[in-house]
Amino acid sequence: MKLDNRMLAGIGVVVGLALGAKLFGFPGLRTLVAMLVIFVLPSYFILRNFDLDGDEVVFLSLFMGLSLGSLSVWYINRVVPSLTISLGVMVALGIIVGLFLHRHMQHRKK
Amino acid sequence: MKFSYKDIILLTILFLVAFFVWTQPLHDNQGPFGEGDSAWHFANGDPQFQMDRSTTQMPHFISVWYYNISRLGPDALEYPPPNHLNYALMQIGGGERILSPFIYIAITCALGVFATFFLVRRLFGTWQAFIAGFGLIFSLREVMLYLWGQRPTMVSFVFIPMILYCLYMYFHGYYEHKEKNIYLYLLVLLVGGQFLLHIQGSVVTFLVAVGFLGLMLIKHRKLPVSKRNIKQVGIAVVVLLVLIVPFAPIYWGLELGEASGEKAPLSYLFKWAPPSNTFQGSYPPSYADTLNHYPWMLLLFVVLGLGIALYRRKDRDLLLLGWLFGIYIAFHFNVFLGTSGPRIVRMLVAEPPLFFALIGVGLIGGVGMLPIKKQFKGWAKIIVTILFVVLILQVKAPEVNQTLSSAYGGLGRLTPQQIEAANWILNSDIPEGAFIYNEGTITFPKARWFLALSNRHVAQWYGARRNLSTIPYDPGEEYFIFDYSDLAYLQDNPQYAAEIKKAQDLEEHNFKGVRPLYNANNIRIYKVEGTLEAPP
Repeated sequence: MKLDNRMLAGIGVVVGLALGAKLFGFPGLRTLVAMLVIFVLPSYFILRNFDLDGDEVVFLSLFMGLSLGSLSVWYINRVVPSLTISLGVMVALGIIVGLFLHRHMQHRKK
Repeated sequence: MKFSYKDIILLTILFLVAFFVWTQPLHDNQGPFGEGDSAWHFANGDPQFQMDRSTTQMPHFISVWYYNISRLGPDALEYPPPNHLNYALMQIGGGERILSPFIYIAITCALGVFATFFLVRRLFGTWQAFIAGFGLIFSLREVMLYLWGQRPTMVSFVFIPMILYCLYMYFHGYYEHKEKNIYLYLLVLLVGGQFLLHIQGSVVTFLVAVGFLGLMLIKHRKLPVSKRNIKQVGIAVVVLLVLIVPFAPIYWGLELGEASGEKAPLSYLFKWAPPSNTFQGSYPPSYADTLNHYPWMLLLFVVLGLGIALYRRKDRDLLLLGWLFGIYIAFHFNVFLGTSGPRIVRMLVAEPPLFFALIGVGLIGGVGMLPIKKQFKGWAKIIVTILFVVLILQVKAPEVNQTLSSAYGGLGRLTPQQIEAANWILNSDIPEGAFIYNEGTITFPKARWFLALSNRHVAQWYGARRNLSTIPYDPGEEYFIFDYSDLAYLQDNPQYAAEIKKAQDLEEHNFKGVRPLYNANNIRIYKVEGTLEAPP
């Protein structure tokens, strides 16, 4: 997605979340936000650093998150004794690795 | 083609419609629903949330269900971790034990809509994609698998369009001498991810890939691997192996009797879907009946799309043709390999994404061929899309909406009273290795949902004590649930009145004078201390 479409995409997401809230109240809203944070966000931060279009990054992130994201949690949980903390570690690691890659790529461009 | 404002608006519309339609079973009743399989899958995820720990073995109470089915041991995992772990992650993230994983299930089972939209949008165009996505929202095949509970299969199959996209992007680029390696790595990561969700989707993906690459080979007269890319392909294969090898023994270990070795007659090759006599008792015949899912007009559009793909034969068209080849081979595994009918029928969910993609390509491609001025063609595409939406709303949506909104209504799923009793067991001192009989809960799936929510092995009472010598349990730890809560609503019906009498006689015979551990809402739970037998 190009920059000028980001706001429209954001509105689309908000409308989707609003429907979740309308149908299922706060638990519905929280569940949808959790899906975005757990399954999309970590892979999104990583994949956006590659030569891919915005829509490719968003769609592929979701499918990566559903499979390899939770596999990562499973592996982390072999070391970290709590599943909840492992989940937090996976999300944080995805974002940190993504930011590191971003910085690295920008540095290389310079 | 980058996303435009039009794509975003149409995608948002698709999400809103799909989310509303597919979550209908939860709108009025947020209890768990599905057949036995659905309870089995939920029961594999929920304990991970309860223990705050992902598992390397199945909880004993669930492994007793299909006891000793795996060569790796009685409590060995029967699925790689991601599928069931996702339920637990949603319970943690969403904060609700039942609603959060069920919203997750509804969305992931409907993901084929968005994966197909994405693929068709990138390769063919927006209107073709919207047509494909909108049609898929109301595809009864996917809806039924979602409702019944073969949800891991569904989630695995929704990966196919995404994998095909990466496959196409890499090999189309390769033949154009401008391949991007990122697509090769994304391809193997998605293939690995799909394999970890359910192997059945991977089988179809493999066949489709063979079909597509075969057609590309014929068209370009050049192998898809050469000196130029052999190193990257080699690394990608290693990445794939690293991902899947640790979990491959799980599938290898299962003894499901899928391939009997008895091959179906060659005449089956002239039928599209397996005949109903090959899956009797597992699925209703209407599930496989092509005409039941596609009225003749839709089939005509499929043929139109197929005709256009055959006529044009661009690389993207070959992808559709390879897809058709792959699913044809998969649907005829009974002829080639002797695979069991119910397993093949389940694979029919691989068909609607292709058919609706072909419909999109056919309709919009057909408009492109009309002898009208170019400036009118844009409007014609919009009009055709609107007409298609109206057609779907007329011929497909009513049945799907009716099915989803009335699914497992009333006593068809656990009542709040039964959920309360299951939660009591969950938090009670009843050992995890206990064997709990259930008498009175009116359906098999509901009794199994008792199992899933209580995290204990609950099985229906079939008139005699189970042969516990073949099912390990904690010695002396047998319990009994007498559940009159469903039957109380049905006591005016003579059949159910007889059921109540039968349960009362059984309770009287075995537990007279015994104080129940739990006694609320017409549900009583006892510990079995002495004999347990049917009354004379």
